[in-house]
Amino acid sequence: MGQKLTRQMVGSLTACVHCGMCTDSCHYVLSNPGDPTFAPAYKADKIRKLFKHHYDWTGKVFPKWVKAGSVFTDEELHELKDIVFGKCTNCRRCTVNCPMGVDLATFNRMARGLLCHVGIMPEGVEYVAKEQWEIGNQMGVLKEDYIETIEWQEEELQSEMEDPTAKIPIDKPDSNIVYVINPREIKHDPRSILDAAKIFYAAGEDYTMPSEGWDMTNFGLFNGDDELGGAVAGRVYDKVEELRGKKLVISECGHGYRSTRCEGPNWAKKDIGFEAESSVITMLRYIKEGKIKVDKTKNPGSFTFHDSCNNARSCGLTEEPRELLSLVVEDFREMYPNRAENYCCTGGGGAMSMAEYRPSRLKSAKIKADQLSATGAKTVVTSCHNCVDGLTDLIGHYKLGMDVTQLVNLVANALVTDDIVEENKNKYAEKEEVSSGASQ
Amino acid sequence: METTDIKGDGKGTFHCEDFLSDINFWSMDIAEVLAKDNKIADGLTADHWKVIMYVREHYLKYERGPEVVRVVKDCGISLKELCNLFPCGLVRGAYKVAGLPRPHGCI
Repeated sequence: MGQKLTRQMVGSLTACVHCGMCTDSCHYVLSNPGDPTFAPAYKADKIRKLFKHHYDWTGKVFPKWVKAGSVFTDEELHELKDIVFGKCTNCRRCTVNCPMGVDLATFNRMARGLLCHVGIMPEGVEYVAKEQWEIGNQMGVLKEDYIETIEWQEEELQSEMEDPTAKIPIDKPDSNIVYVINPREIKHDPRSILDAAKIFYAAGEDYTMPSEGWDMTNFGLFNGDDELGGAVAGRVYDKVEELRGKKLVISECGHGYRSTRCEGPNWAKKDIGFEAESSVITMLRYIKEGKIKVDKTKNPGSFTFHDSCNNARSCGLTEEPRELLSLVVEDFREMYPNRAENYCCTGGGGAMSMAEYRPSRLKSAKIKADQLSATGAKTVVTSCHNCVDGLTDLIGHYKLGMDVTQLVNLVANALVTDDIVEENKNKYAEKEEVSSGASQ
Repeated sequence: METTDIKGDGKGTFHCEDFLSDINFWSMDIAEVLAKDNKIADGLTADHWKVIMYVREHYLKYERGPEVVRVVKDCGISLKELCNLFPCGLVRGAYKVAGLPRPHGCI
């Protein structure tokens, strides 16, 4: 524990005045009224007692008074595991409502890291972390399958744009942008890769996707292992440097954005010499600069926007997604509360990998389900793959009948490319006529 | 573990509401039941079974589900056709109906 204690963390561990303001802000508490064990301060005290027992002078002088204590048995270790993994998604909504600024997520993550260090963690978390360590991405996708998927989507891009020369470049050096993604986009559904490729193509962007270090997700954020966090983020940074890319653009993922852009340099102990931004910012800039044209009537229906916790609360990315959404849909309905006060999708903090806590997670999602229903929207938009998963699960469980999508899909749908496609058709038809004439 | 007596025989066939918790509990009848839960209203066709058996054999051989590129290339279908067959997607559709356990990580 001593190696993980920072000034910020000690401040959070000692500052709680047990006022109870956090209680009303936690989705677990709101969905389990009358059960005090879900209150952030209660959960925090289970970790706080360890600090007081091992490090704080009050715990040595007045242990009973300050409730200092440690964990000695397997049962106590597993009880702590159930609290730090199963009763908190590290969403930080309690933090933004705490008058003392106690950051439960930070020392909850620390406690997760301590437990992982002694081999106590949910099976799913262990499995995914191992894949990221050993294979280089959290879904164990091999390099040849990654490249084959990119090449497949390149063929789709060529077909859609009627341009046989359209590329999704892999490992192109000196590009303006190096674009990194969530392994889910390779393993399960590559349509977001094609959507991004269409947008980059329409914008005439000089970009590349790396053949390695392409996984911007990071289970080090979820399991509290800074070494894993640094190794995974470091692979991305090393590849960008190797390719001499000028900017790293991160596809829509809350924890991936936070880990890769904000936390990774600390974990990897590395100063990065290039900019990093979310693809949300990139797409918004393209529209504002006139590099792409969009037609919002191509996205009919009603939409609401879910702020993913890592993007909004931890990284301040609240206005740009809304601005972008307003440009590509006609009927955008805010949910309430929103921005930094929005409720967690309940799938954060690695929760989607913890099957044993699913019933509790879905029960805690009631508040989110009510929030979604109140908008009357048909589709919820989010900029995070974990949120897509968490929202899809709770929408199915509460039978809300809503769809879930991301901004890249809506921007790609709204793209006005008729003139580009028409020009390509004519250009390549002429070339074909010329070459068939020459061969005769 | 949340369970449903999916076979109705009281013998403890577990269904995690979401994915089958044990691949060995699968049968073609169970696949039909899982398909109805997943927006495949009109029953499983030969095209569905081609994908289901491919996914299942891949999992049993490699202890992980196949990448989407493998499914489309090896089954000879397009991504659009795959999405039409399984409206809930590769994982929530094909993996689930094939009896695979829920993959770890986000899906």
